[in-house]
Amino acid sequence: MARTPAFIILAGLCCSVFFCARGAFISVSVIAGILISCSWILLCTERITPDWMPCLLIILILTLIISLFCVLRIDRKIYLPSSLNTTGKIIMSRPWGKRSAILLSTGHGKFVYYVNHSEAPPEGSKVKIDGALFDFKRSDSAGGFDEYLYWRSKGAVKKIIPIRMETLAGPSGISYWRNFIRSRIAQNLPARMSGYMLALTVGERDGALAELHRNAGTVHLLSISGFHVGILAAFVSMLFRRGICRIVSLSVVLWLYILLAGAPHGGVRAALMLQIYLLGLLIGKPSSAFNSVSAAGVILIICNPWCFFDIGWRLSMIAALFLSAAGTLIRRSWFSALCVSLLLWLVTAPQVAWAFKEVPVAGILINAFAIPFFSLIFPAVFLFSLPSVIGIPFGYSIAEAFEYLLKIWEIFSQTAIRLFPWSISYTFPLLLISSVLMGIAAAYASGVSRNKILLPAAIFPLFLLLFA
Amino acid sequence: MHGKGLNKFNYFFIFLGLLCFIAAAVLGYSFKGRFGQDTAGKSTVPMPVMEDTIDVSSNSQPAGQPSASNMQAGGPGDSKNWIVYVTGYVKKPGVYEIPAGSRVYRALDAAGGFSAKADQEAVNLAATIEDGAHIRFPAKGETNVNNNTVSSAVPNVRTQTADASKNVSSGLININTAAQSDLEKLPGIGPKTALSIINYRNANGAFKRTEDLLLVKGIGAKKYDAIKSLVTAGK
Repeated sequence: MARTPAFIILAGLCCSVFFCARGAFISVSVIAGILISCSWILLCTERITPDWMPCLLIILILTLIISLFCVLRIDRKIYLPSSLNTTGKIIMSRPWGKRSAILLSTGHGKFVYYVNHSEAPPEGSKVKIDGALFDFKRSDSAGGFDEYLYWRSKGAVKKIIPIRMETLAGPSGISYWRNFIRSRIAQNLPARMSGYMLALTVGERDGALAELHRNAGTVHLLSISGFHVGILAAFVSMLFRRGICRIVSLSVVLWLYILLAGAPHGGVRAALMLQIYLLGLLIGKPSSAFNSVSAAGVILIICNPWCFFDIGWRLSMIAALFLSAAGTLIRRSWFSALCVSLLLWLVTAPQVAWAFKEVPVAGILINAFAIPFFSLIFPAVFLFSLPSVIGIPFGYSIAEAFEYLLKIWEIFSQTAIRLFPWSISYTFPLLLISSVLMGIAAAYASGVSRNKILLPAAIFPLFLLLFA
Repeated sequence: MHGKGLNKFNYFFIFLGLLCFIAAAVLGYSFKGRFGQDTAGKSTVPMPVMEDTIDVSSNSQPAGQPSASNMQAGGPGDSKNWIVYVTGYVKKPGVYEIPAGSRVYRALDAAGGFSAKADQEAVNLAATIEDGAHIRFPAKGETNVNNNTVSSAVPNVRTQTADASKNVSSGLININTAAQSDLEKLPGIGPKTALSIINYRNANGAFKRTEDLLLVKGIGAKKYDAIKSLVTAGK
């Protein structure tokens, strides 16, 4: 309980949000969440210390308050007219099939509309819109794409079909810089370098590159997450000596990067985790990685409870929680690291298969090499792209030469796909295996002894058996 | 927390922990229904669509039929309270519940009063309003352009209280009952689009509002803008 208080709160909170989304009463959802937290504490407790009861009460009270706050927000009714004539700011623009999806922030809330690529106003533009509001489509089948949950997790409340729209002002602030960087990269770099740089800097996925990585099971490399934040943190840490200067500079650079990348869930989660860890260092009580990840997850749900339903949030949390729990094993030996890679694939496979219909088996092998390879390649991509992006002569040639290294990676991943051409679909047993592994990792990180570890770990598959 | 073996306290805690888990599971499993469902999840009354956004415009429903979701929220179906939409130069624009029979000043109070830039004489605060009204308070010097229906009961206040049934008799084409030939009379609507409207109607049920035409294949913003004043979604 003392090691991972944030995880206990996160478990209760997720349970409350899950029950609330199933249609349970607010009170029932909150009580069920508290009971799950309490159950985890009791199953993990091996001896009573003097501060056990105060800790238990504090954690349960926090679970109650946070769960109630989040569940009330999920349950809140939002009153909207059938049409709107208002002004707002484009806060996100992303490819949506053959069209673009635009997230618009107005005084009435956030709305989404779809337009042709050519008609999409740049991100950050201020627009005047007159349009009709529509509900999002719900998924027709289990595992199908749910437009409602997807956009609610991004903060949008309804879909708007514009009847008239006028751009009042161009992008400003961070949006201006995002657009500027995006256009410089697109214009001055060859295809592969441009794709990786767009993913690294503004968090945008190039269609062809994303497809390539999706087939190899490494698409997570193109989403800003703990991996990217870790590389940045390592780089900044090298520049500054130990002490408060390093913590402050790292925090500033970290959040500027996340803002520049468009604040994706995975990136914000990683940044929050690192920030919590840094704050712990500052006050002399560093939090464990597992607890920091859990605390970051709780903060994200408090900010937007709907993010619980976002596949990005779920994958990011599951992977980060598992890796932070198994962190000590990774450092032990290469064989252990490979085992963790395999186990991580198993833990995340059901979520990936649920969202993308299948998960490539080759991903097990490719990921084992991809992580160390790209931890070197990403900083190199950045350095070799920079001359061309800022307009130094022969910069394009330098970037073009580096493309060959990226091509070698493509050849390796495609060979691995040919050797292991199979992919697996979502199945319930796969989900159960994943939940058992996750449960064991969580119990291990919580300090439960080996002879008792299966007991708390059994909560995860039991819960899924009852409610999945 | 690491211990060498399990003692009686451990067994007691395991028992309590499992008890908590079972209690949570029973709660989650039993009380999964609400709003017209009994505790076992069986419907006792027809269930509304469980969306968390509620359309408060009066033309979103057939005349005189308050929606189930509005009834949940104490909306137009609640005879004691009306829902009005207050926008423009007030301190807190938004949708508010006010007592039935209220006048404009009640809606203004609910929205926190005039903002600094509001033209306080442009609106007749004593005017009567209707349930589902959209009341807009203009700024000083702002021309009160009215793109929609102006309620005679609320002079100088822009309202949207269009009752679809009132428009049926005013020569508008009812998109819920019109034949293909009638729909083809609308500007920009050819046989193909008219057929699409009828097919959409047959597949998805009656149009609840004219804006739903935007969901029909072949009708974009421009086409809708050209025909919106010529059609109604009354039943």
